[in-house]
Amino acid sequence: MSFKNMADAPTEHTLLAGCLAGDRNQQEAFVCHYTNLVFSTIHGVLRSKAACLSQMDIEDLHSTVFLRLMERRCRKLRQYQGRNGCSLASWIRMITVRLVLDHLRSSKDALARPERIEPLTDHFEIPSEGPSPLARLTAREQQAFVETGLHALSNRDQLMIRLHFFEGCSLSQVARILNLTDANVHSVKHRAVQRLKEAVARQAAEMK
Amino acid sequence: MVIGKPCPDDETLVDYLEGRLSDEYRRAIDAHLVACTSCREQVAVCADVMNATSLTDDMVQAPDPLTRKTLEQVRSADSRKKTRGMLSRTRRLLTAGLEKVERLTLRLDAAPVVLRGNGKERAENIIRRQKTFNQTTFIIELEKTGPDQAVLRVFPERETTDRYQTTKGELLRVSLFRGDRELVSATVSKEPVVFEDIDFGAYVLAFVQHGEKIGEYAFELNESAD
Repeated sequence: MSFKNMADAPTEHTLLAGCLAGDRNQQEAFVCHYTNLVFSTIHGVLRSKAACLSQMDIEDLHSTVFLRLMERRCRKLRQYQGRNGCSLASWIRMITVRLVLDHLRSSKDALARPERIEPLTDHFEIPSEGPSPLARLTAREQQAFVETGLHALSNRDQLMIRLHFFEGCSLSQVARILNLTDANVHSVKHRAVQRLKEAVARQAAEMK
Repeated sequence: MVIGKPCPDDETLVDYLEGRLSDEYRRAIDAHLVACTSCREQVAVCADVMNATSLTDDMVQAPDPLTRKTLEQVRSADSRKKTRGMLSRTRRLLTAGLEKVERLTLRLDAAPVVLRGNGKERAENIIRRQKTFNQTTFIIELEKTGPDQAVLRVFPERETTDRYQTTKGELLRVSLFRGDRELVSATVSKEPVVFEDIDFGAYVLAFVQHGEKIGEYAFELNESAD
């Protein structure tokens, strides 16, 4: 049986209704229908986050998405309502994104735990290769300044600045998130930056 | 009274990304995304994935052996078995070393509990627990508000309201986790912390003081048998 060439691909409604009714055949058809979407999304998240996972972890995540949807008589799947025209495929994609991000965060936390805490006195004379304490303090103060300026902006402007400049999202990503066209997003970005500059300048003037 | 709402559900985030929300609702989600780093990350990554692929031809094809393996797991799993895979392992890691997860059932005929105020009152749909961490006693109250939904209230016990604030003036903070994901967080004060629209499922309530966790309460809300 080829999973790529299923004749008469079932509709979302048929698959959903069958799964919720406990139809094992429909549940298997559900897996076959969305297997590529889930696998593709997992790889998309890893690419977006520039992260690497072992083949076993990727396979585990793939299985976990479907098991999570089907467990306890499809409890999670029952949460899908399709209100506002949200498709089942889009919803499954979002769930897959969240699952992979949660896994990446938990892996990062696990790696961050120190194996051993070494006494400071053992490394008293090792010179730092990073920025000087004064440079770090200045950077922190500047960041605090910018943060205060950010809070004076509208939520949309804040999102533009945070997503594009702080979190490295491309303008096409930001355009999709803020529901802008590719042409508009440049002018929205420009205006947000201008407003931030004005807010920071006002703050600086008030401090004098 | 401090009110903290959980994050928007996945369907709402999809509607937000695909431009189907009303202007007012969209502005509310904008405000949430400004404040919530995990939702913002989720939305940003999903947007990136959406930009990179359509839902049909651009998708990376899952290898047949992987699909077969997943099918096998779905066939063998039943409603009583826990999910195998990273999510259950993550949950086990999170709850390892903690007190046992308490399974709570909210139902219409719940036993009477002592409510705030004078004396005992018969209560429906409410479960109350008292937990002490670092010499501060908290009352944790769960009240059913609808099908598969509850409201969670956390507040210091009356006799210890003066001790919740440390000698250094740092306040206590309580955070609600589902799996690995922090849903909402709030500062504990003399007024109750209220988390609304809690779906039934497994959660961990973490208490933090001086930036360090002083205690956790793990619970699982289940549907009524009625």
